Amino acid sequence: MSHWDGRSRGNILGYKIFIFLLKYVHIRIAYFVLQFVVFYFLIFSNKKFIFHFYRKILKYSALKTEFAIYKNYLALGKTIIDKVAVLAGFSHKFTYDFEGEDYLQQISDAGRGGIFIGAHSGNYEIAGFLLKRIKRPVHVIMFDGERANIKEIIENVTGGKRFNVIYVQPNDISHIYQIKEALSKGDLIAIHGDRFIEESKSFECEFFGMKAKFPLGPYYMAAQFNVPVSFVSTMKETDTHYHFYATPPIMIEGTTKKETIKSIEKTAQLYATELEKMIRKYPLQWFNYHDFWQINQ
Amino acid sequence: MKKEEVIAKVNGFLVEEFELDEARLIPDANLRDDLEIESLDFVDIAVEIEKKFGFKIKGEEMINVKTLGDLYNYIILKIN
Repeated sequence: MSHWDGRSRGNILGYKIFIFLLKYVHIRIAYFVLQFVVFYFLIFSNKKFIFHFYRKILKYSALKTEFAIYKNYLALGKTIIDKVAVLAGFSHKFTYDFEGEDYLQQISDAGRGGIFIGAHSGNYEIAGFLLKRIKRPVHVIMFDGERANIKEIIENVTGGKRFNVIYVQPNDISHIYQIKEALSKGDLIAIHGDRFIEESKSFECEFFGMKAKFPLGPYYMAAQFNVPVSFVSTMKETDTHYHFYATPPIMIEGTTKKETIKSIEKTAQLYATELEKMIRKYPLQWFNYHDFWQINQ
Repeated sequence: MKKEEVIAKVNGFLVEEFELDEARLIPDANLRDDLEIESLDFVDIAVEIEKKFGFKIKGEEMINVKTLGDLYNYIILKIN
């Protein structure tokens, strides 16, 4: 199944240790400690789907695939440490390039709200933090399973709220109204465009030459609430440097419901194509470890 | 606006948009479990409520709206 159960890995103690190292030692020491954690996950985690990604999708050799998995886990660990570092107030330890930020500024200046679509690649939460530069409240959509991790880290470990979070909980639709309310005030929404939970609507897009399901929710909301979408990514380029990308705003329109649905599906495909382009550029920063291409079916 | 008018407007929309059988539209019907309205369908409902009744929905107010009866009562409360 390519759907995701809404849970993310990691625990608070681990994050606290890394914050301690960041605060009192150096980020490179945190990265050094991370290597042992990565070895643990390399041995004990299920690598089936990430193996499939490198070996079958990107067609790496067997040896290159093994190295890629190790580097992928390491990259994921580093982005988690960086995320906590930035949210804990250490953003000055990193440098950033901005590409397409003016598009987001256009959306913000128009004052009608907008939806920024990101993925589990690069560093989504840092994107949420960097979006503060555009001077409009940004509400980051997170699944409830991430609450234990992210909320506690942000509010307890780092000592306060850094950005607004709207939680999506199974069997509850209040997030739809919270998103609507935020957009009607001209606020911005940051949401993942690469995962959906089983009950939600999805669309099969062409992705790396194969069909993969992508959620329709972000585009559906953009169409119905009449706001633009922009695809955003924040990719790690060196230990202390990130590159932020945003695409020109897209309005999803249609004069009939059928036309609107077509437009929604077309935009989902545009996103899949954009994401593929980004992952081809940064192949070690693909952080989806579930059955994305439904190889089990 | 009278309760009957609210019910007629809401039911009319649900029948037209989601092709629901009017006989299923009873106040005790759970929106998700009984009427099988999916989460994204609530996007349409939100837009339609604003258009038809002229008020903005607040997220926290909708937390307790589980049944069709809850939805009627919420709208009546807001417009009166």
